[in-house]
Amino acid sequence: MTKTKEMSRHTDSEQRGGGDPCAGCGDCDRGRDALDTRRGVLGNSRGAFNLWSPWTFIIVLLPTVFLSWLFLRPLLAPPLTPQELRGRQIYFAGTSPSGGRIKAYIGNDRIALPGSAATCDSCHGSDGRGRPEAGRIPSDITWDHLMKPYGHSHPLDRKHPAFTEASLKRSILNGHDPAGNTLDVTMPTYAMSLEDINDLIAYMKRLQTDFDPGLEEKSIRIGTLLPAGGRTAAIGQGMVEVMAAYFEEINSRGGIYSRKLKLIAAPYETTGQSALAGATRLMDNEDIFAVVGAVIAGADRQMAELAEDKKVPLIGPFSFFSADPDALNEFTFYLYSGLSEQVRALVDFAARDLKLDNPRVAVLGQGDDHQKDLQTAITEQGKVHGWSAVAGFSIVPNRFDADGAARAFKEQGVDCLFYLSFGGLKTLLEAADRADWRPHVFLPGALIEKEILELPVGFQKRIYLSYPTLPSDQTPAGVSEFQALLEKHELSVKHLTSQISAYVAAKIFVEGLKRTGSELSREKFIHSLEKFYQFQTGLTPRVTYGPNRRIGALGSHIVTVDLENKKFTPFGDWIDISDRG
Amino acid sequence: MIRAATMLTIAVMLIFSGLNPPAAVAGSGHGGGHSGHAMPTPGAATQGKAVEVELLDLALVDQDGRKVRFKSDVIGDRLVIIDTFYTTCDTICPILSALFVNLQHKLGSRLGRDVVLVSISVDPGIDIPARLKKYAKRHGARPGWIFLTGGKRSVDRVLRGIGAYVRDYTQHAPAILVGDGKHGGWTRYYEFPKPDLVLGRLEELRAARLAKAQ
Ligand code: HEC
Repeated sequence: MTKTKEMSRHTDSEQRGGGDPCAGCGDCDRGRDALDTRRGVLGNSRGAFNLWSPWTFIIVLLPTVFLSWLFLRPLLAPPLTPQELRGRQIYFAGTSPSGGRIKAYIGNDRIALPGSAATCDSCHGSDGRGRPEAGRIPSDITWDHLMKPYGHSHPLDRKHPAFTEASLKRSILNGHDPAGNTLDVTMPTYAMSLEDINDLIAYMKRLQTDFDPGLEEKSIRIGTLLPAGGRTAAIGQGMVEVMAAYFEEINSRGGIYSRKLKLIAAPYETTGQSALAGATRLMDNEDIFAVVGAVIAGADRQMAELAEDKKVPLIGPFSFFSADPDALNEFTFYLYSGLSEQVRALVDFAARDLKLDNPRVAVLGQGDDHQKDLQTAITEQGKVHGWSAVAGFSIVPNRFDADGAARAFKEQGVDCLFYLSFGGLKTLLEAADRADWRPHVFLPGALIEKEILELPVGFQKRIYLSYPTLPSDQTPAGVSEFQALLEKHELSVKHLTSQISAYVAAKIFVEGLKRTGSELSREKFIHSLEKFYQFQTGLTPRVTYGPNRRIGALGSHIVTVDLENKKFTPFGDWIDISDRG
Repeated sequence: MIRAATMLTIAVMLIFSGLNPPAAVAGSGHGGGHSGHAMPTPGAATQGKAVEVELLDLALVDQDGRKVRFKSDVIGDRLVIIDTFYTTCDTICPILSALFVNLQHKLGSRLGRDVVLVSISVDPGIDIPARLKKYAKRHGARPGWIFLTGGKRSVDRVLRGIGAYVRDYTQHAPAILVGDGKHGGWTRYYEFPKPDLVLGRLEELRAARLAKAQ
């Protein structure tokens, strides 16, 4: 058996998750840069910076970002009055703020259900414009429409004069339109107190201007998170600058459906916890429509849960673990595959391209939650290919008996190794070389160290790395557009890959806005994103989303390590894993 | 164009759903009312209709991702109440599900023992188990209320077998099917039947069972 010692957490879990979408393939010197910055982005949570100080933020970012939280936001529409707010609750939740009972009567038999089972918004939509569904056509009930002086002509020849407040109440309580026609049976009738119906009507007057948070007639407020501290600050700043410049470009061309984009950056320390706290503040206090291109690594899953909880779209977070696929986080749209999707792609690659037929697989990691998740991904994806022998081992890198382990693995016939620990691979493979044990070795490129090029030559063409994106994804048009932006705004390349990721997140966001049109809401925006199919960003793999798909580039590139010439070589085609849903 | 299409849709819906206008319409005789309601049936309440069904024993998937056979695992020998839905439906599905919540409440501890509630997705391509699970949770579904999805072909065949297949899932009409997995006696209620009507039918089926057992 392998000698496994008790795990001591001598690296941060964030560090394990660390990595750069392009830690380099050797074709450029970005690999080196990425290796250094990996810790910068994700690592050292014990950094000297301990700030939640707006002052640091101002000094760093004043030139590029709106600082509107320091000022009172000029509101175009006055905030909802208490009465309108009560009406809002009735409209969206079907419950009475005054503690009374609201009942909905449905169907021919007018069955009584709690009002919460048939909320106005579920049929007429959060904007009141109605959504045709299940063969039913809930009317447009925005105030302007209801009050049109010449009344309405509905399908099936139903015509009626304009509503008055009294006739509107009758339609909700008794199911008649102003002409006395009975409304379609799909429209429930309601029983509620006089106070409640008055509140509801008061809110219905405001419905059409009561936009989702962050939306105004002429602006869209967008949040992002900015890690601050040491080198990380520079990276975060680089990302925010690129997004701000891009939004400025859009604004200079008139904005999106005449709404200007405003970026609000919230700084946080480099720990996952403070990222979460920063995001919570951003979502609670800053009145933003969405969070775009934020660095959230270290709190990946919690961040997706937070977005779900607050119903704030989170677009292109810079992250290494995607959300729990079973949790179906509706609001989080990732750009790249996280580590678990990458190991799935490695398994597909091993089975299909290397034709490893039910290999004996050892998964080495530090025995933490990340290893558990990745091991589950490997086991499940292996099952698809008929793999039945996947076993996990927990190690402390560089502090275990590598020779003993190599001999034991050899004895057990292990011919496939997933190395999910940060550091220690060289020690292990040198021992393997001595023991004449030469398994195929797979690992996410995010986990490699510089020593990867110094591995024994016996592992030539046996080491395979996954990369969610490579320079080969970039199109000439995409590159020149990006360069033009940098030049025009005199931005320096601080950390190209993270800047690209932020830029592409912003691009996806803007594309989603364009496709949604002028009647914007978070719900409609999410539906537009779900229709993205092979969207060409110009700098990354093409992006596809769907009702159940939240990872744009679902799959991985494979890169092998050419140990003879000491370089990285891309290998084969992009591995698409979207067929697993 | 759109209007014509939607009108047609409504007309088709009215025919297929056996939709009747609410009692309030009766005799009011207003001109220019819904033409779909041209022949009002005064005071018509939702009535059950005896139907023949074929329970196919195909493999489907429940909200926990478990493979289950429709006839043998899901229905078995129990009394069942079935509806169809899809998780992205906002209008009638929440209402049907609210009815099921009501039934679940009234069934109390019988749920999962001799009675099961079954909700089958008509949009299995999108409704993966995780979606069903989220939907079930939102409605406070207890064990004994089973949500089903699966391969589209299997789901479609199962739906055809129980007469609940629609080509375009967005046109799916509200209906509830009640029956006895052992002895049949299937009844379909269109639109939204009163919970007591459905429970009454369950009682009849149970009584018929006891009679048979003697
Ligand atoms: C289950 C779906 C559903 C729910 C829930 C619902 N409606 Fe409706 N509503 C409809 C449909 C369908 C129509 C169109 C009726 C017709 O064409 O005869 C309608 C029509 C109306 C009309 C008449 C508009 C016109 O121009 O004639 C008003 C007003 C209205 N709804 C308000 C509300 C309010 C307020 C609520 C919440 C308290 C609500 N509805 C909840 C489905 C719904």
